[in-house]
Amino acid sequence: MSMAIDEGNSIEKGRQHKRRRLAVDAPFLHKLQFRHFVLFDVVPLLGTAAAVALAFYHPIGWLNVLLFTTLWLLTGLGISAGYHRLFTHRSFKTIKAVRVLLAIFGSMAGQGAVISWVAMHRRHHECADKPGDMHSPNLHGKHVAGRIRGFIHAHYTWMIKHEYPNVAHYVPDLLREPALLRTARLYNWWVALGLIIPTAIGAAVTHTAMGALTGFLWGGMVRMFVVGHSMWALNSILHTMGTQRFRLRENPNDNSRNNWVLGILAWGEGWHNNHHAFPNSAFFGLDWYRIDLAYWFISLLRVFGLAWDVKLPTKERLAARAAERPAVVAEQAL
Amino acid sequence: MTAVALTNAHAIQSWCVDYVARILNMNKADVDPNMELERFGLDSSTAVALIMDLETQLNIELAPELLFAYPTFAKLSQHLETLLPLRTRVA
Repeated sequence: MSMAIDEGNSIEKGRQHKRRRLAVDAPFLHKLQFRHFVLFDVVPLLGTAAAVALAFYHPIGWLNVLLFTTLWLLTGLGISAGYHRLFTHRSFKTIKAVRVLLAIFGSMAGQGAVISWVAMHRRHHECADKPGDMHSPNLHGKHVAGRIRGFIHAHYTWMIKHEYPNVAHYVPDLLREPALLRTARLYNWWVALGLIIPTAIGAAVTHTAMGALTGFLWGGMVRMFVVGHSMWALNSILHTMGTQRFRLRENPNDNSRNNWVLGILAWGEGWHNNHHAFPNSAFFGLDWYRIDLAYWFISLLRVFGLAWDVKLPTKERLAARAAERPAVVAEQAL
Repeated sequence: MTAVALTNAHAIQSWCVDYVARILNMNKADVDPNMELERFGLDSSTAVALIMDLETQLNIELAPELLFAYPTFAKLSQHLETLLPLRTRVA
């Protein structure tokens, strides 16, 4: 991961070195963020409420369950194996077609284009639970009201308006990959495709408008809602409560936690403390008995020769990390 | 990215052309510096990347929304030249 401040880019001798900005704010970016929040975070919430209400009058059929599960799995793997483990942490290598496919499935989750997501997530690791962490629940005061405000911020409201990371600084590797940039530029279309597919299948199978509607709601809205909240729970719940197997020497503020329920429900992402201790490990579970769906998927890719250089920590590294303690006392929460 | 001497509008413009040619996988010859950037298909994240990289190259703090005010590379680089410290400027 890059250093927090890059001072090596002065263009002329004798001129003052300038710190590279790590994040920026601009009205046009905030406008885009607000629009994104309403379309992809609020609308699925309303859609889910509609789906649940409708279920009382029109029972959920097997097709809806199938559409939800398939798209939940594909977009979840797109986020966890793709956006997170492959693009952010480069924890394995794969062919270009798999990279593009994972970026497309990740886009369908509606959590932002891959460039922005990766830049923000690399910044999160760099500043975990310190100023600069865009979605820490621990920076709003220590009292009950502050804890609650922090929790809501980390889970949901941070997305309404936030700093935008310096993408040139955080994702220079992705900016050198034209195929990925092209995929990212089409982000809105991928989200739309993720809604059109279940609607079309619902219509084609049932030949009814109700089939199209429930396909859209369960394969689109409810699926986006569940995938979104599963990931946001990492920011809110898993930086607040759960077990903490590793205490990081380099960042005493890091309050990442493990939770087996979210481990199972969120494609292995719930082993969040393990992940903060070993960000480059493709395996968040770290042991076979911790369910880690995205790692199983990466292992499957490896069986077919589609994944290689899969990074895992050595036994020595695991033992050393488990014995570590923070070097200094945590900064007071703001 | 290696540091190059961006001391006038021409150098800045050709640096920008190289940059988007790489980002958008185009031939440099096809990047018309008088064409509006929007029409190339530069999105907000890559537009910010361009401005942030320029900021580092020029060592001048730039507004991320600069491309709205100067929507072509010709206009942008002429504007940026005026921001260069006098002793750096080479016409």
